[in-house]
Amino acid sequence: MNAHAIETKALRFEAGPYCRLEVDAALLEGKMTAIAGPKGPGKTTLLLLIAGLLKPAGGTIVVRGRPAAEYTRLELATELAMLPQSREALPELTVRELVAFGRTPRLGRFRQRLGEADEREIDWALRQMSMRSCEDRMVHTLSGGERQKALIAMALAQRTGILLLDEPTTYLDIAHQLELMRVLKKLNREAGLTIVMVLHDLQQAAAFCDELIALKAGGIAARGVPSRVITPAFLRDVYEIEAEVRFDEPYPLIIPLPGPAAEEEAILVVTDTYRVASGEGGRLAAYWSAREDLGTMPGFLGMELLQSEKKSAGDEISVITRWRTAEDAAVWQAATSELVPDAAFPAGPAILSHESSLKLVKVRRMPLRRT
Amino acid sequence: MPLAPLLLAAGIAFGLTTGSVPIPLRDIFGILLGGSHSPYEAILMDVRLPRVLVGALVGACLAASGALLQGIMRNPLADPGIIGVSAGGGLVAVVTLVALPQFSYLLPPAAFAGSLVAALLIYALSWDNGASPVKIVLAGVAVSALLGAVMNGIMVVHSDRIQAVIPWLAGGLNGRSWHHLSFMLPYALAGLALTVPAIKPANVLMLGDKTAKLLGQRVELQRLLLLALAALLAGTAVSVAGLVGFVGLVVPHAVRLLIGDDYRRLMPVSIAGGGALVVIADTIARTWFDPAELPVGILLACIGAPFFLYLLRRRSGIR
Repeated sequence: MNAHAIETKALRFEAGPYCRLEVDAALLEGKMTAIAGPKGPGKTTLLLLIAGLLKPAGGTIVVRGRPAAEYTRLELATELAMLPQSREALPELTVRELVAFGRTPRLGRFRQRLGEADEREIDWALRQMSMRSCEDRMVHTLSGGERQKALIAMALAQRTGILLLDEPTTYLDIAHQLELMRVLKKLNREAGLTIVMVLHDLQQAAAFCDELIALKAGGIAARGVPSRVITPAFLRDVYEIEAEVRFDEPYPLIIPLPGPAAEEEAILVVTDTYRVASGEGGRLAAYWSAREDLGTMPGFLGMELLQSEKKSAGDEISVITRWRTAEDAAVWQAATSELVPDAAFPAGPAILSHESSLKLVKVRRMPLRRT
Repeated sequence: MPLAPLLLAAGIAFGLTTGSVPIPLRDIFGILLGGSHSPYEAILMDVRLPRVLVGALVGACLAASGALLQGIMRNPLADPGIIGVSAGGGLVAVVTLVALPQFSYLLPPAAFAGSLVAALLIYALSWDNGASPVKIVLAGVAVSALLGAVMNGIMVVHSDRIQAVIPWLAGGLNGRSWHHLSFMLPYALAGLALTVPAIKPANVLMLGDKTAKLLGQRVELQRLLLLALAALLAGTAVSVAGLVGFVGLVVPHAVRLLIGDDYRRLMPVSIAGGGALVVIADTIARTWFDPAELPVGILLACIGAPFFLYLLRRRSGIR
């Protein structure tokens, strides 16, 4: 058996500036693969390309070792079935009649009459989706979940080796979601069905799928065994969220961290620049470092000292203080203009010049990141 | 469903027996099976039988065309008018009858050709890497409006001669004879026969383009062929009966409401129902207002519309 049910080689698709896709992926035979990723780039597109419903701009798709372009539509429909993400109205049919359409590729071009073998396959498909009991109901009376199951049964009745599902659990409540995932897992395990599904629920992907492919910005952002792929770093890179991931059970727990993504505030920065005689800079710096009373001043946020030594023009010390409000900064400026730190120089004042400047600064703080 | 051929047979029997001179059913069998010399032979063979047969074929073709179009357009309001058959046929008929009256004996083939050309034009205009139903409907509306404007223009310019056109535009079977039947018969039979292989593609297309493609169908090709078939059927009907509206819209729709969407049932029942409806309506149109005759298209609208509304309302009560 071929190890790859589907391979895409340098597959490229473009539709306007916002839809670009470039994917090299191999989808494993007999496995369940989830395709995830934030809203936007190309999950559905990838499935549609594989199913031949969209034409790629370049690259090839290989289905079961044979380029998809070489298949006729009918041949492809015997290898690969797909549940598209569509809310289209269905015609007035019973569930069984709808599922019977899944046999279409197996019948001739014009034949619609079903043989005994076809009826058995339809029975099998209905049983898999536990729809035998409502096979005579009209499809437009079904609930969203039942409708989805009927459509999947139709795809199953095609009896293909590959099943593509585009968000099969969307619109289903949690009970139906889990039921559907269990049925798919069972089909995968017992019937060897290769399943590729677009799935938004990472927890379900981890619990049921063998492989996770995350698409972002038109390419593959990450891929591998879900329990290893889903990490805080993955969530940050792909979904831009901060969250903890706990894998105590096979079902991972993704706990979003509180707090806004970024905060912004305005502060005032006062820069006092003192020039002193050469060699005296250290003494002045030591003086400022020792000024513990600064911390008690209202609105004080912090201080930095910058010292530069220049042989010719003497040393320069910059005292950069940050203040919460303009008033707080003004108090500080008034104080420093009076107070020449003579205390630092027992041998007499050595300050050659003093300049003070004030700036309003907007600070954008990114949240702390855990790695 | 087994009632449908019975309905058609009853309609034809009604059409043959009823008229300004009633003919007993026994005599009809006698004449048709040969041998018996009935005083009614001339009336039946020269007037009533061809007219009834033309009516049945017209109704069958229109209903089959409408049934196909509603499926492939996925639009319950689709009827032969939407693919330009009425506008194309109408324009050519007006040109023939008004501007070139010396060629009026060519009306059936000319109207037939006009219908098909308009349908093909609409399909070509809606083609953009595949022709979606919405685009076909939009192109159909635009082309029909244009052709209708030209038609009206001709009628205004030649307002002295539009007498000849009005019955044709209203759609009627008055004076239809073996000549008309022999013109339409090959096209009608071919078209109706081709509905059999059309059933499966029409059924799958109902599921939508995406699903049909996933089931291995060549959707674009099928839609083109089915449209061509629908145009052939409707054009055949238009060529001999003029613009008989309503049948193509209402018969398949009513049948759908009664027996569902499966073309394996829908198509034959629509064909039989359309044939029966036109024959019965035409019989009423030519007898109730005796000695005057109403074009059957007008009567069809008068009895069909209320019946259709009744079906719709009854149906919404169930849902």
